[in-house]
Amino acid sequence: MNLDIQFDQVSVNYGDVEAVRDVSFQLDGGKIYGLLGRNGAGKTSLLSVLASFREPSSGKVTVGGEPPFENAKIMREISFMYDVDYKDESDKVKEGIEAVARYRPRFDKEFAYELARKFNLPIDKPVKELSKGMQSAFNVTIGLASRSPVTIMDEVYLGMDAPARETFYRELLEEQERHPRTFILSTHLVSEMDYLFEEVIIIHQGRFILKDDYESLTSRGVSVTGPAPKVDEFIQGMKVLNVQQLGHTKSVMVYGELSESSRSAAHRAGLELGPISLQDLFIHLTGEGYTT
Amino acid sequence: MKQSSSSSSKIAAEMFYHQGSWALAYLVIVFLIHLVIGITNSSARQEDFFSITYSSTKGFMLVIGIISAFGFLSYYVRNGFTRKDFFTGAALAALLLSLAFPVVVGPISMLLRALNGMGEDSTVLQQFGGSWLIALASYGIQIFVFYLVGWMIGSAFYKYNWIYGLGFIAIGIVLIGILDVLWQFELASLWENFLPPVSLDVSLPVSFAGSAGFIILGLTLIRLLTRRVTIKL
Repeated sequence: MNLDIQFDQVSVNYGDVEAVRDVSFQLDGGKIYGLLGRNGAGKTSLLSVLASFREPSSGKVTVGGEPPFENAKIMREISFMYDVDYKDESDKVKEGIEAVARYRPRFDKEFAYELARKFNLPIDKPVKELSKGMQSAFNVTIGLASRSPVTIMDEVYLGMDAPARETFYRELLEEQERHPRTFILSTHLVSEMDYLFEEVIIIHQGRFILKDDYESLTSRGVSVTGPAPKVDEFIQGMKVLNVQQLGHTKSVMVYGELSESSRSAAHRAGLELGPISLQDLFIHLTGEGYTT
Repeated sequence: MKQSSSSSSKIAAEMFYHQGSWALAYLVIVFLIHLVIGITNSSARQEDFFSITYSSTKGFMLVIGIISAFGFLSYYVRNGFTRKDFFTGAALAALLLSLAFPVVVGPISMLLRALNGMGEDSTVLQQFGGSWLIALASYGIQIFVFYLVGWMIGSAFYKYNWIYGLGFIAIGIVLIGILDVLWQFELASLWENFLPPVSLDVSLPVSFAGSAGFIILGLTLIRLLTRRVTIKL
């Protein structure tokens, strides 16, 4: 079941504050999307509209051509995993898994317990007594095992240590091989998660900035590496995103595509050209002073 | 449609199970208190078990009604249910609970009375002319309305800020006050301080019809409050 998602001029207001303004984009079903934005960019507001937690203040969202809000058929196919406040959740991990298994039509219980083992989740412990990282692992377990055609994971790794996050990323990719679905991963851990994304959406100050596939996005800029003076000479007049220097070797990220003649000039000068990182592009597009 | 009814019955069954277990714990506590008072305080005239339960269950239902507006609503919407399914399921669970209380409390009270050697009738029972059937029906109806009032107040606090919440508390107090006139005058001593004494002789059919009206009004208000409510993260 592939459910295409369409945001059409969606705005979300909290009183006078516009958290999301006039955002439009479309997501085809079955891909892993990275939703990037700084703190307060409007990621969670946008996602909570998709998950029917709220209605947009204006504009329209459709999933599989239908508005998801109060639509039983759509709502049960969308899982929204976020940093849930579990302070009152006295159910044990096991009971939590069994409960969601009753609610979600595609839930795979066996897989859930397998994931719980991999995350070392104590299944007989009440969820409220788990550490922050373990509660996040519980969310990830539920989110992956629900196999919802639209699975939203909003900063779902909070408190998870590096090995646990690695397990999460690996399991997510394997799941996508076995049971392709639409994943929306909202994050600001860009450098760590970029290899997961097939496509990337960037929002900033409530506005839509871009949506592109990972490959073409990272080819929007170039990294130029070589002896410092030659690099400096080559990048004259270009938009510099980031500079790193080690001894006499300098590596500079520049924004914008290079013409064929520039490329061969770089080659002749003994400079090495490479793609830029998503992280650098993200910082450039959403950095201080950058306004929509 | 079929899916929707199965969703709400799933919610109803689960909530009835959860709240039913709280209710059981609550009844055990009331019973123990009753027992301890009975042993330690033999001289004073003691309220009978039915009278104590009759009034304290209202408070219990008010509180779990408030809780249902907060925890349960978020939980079920987070797990892919619609607000409508939650509304139907929670209302059904409250109805079941309001039926279960008289079914459990009635026989226990009768048994306790028999054990006490069929002494004086329960104070509450006397108000209903000694009819267990009417007393238990009034009990079930009143605790259901108290649950709805709690759920309504909780929903208002969930949806709006505290000022609106207080407004709905006021509506709740009015509803409960009128309900009291319809059934029991338990609160009469409270409002007789502010209002001229009323001596309404409410007939049984009026009590039932009035309660039905309240239930419909309560359910309508709750549905209006929660129909499109934003779920808190």
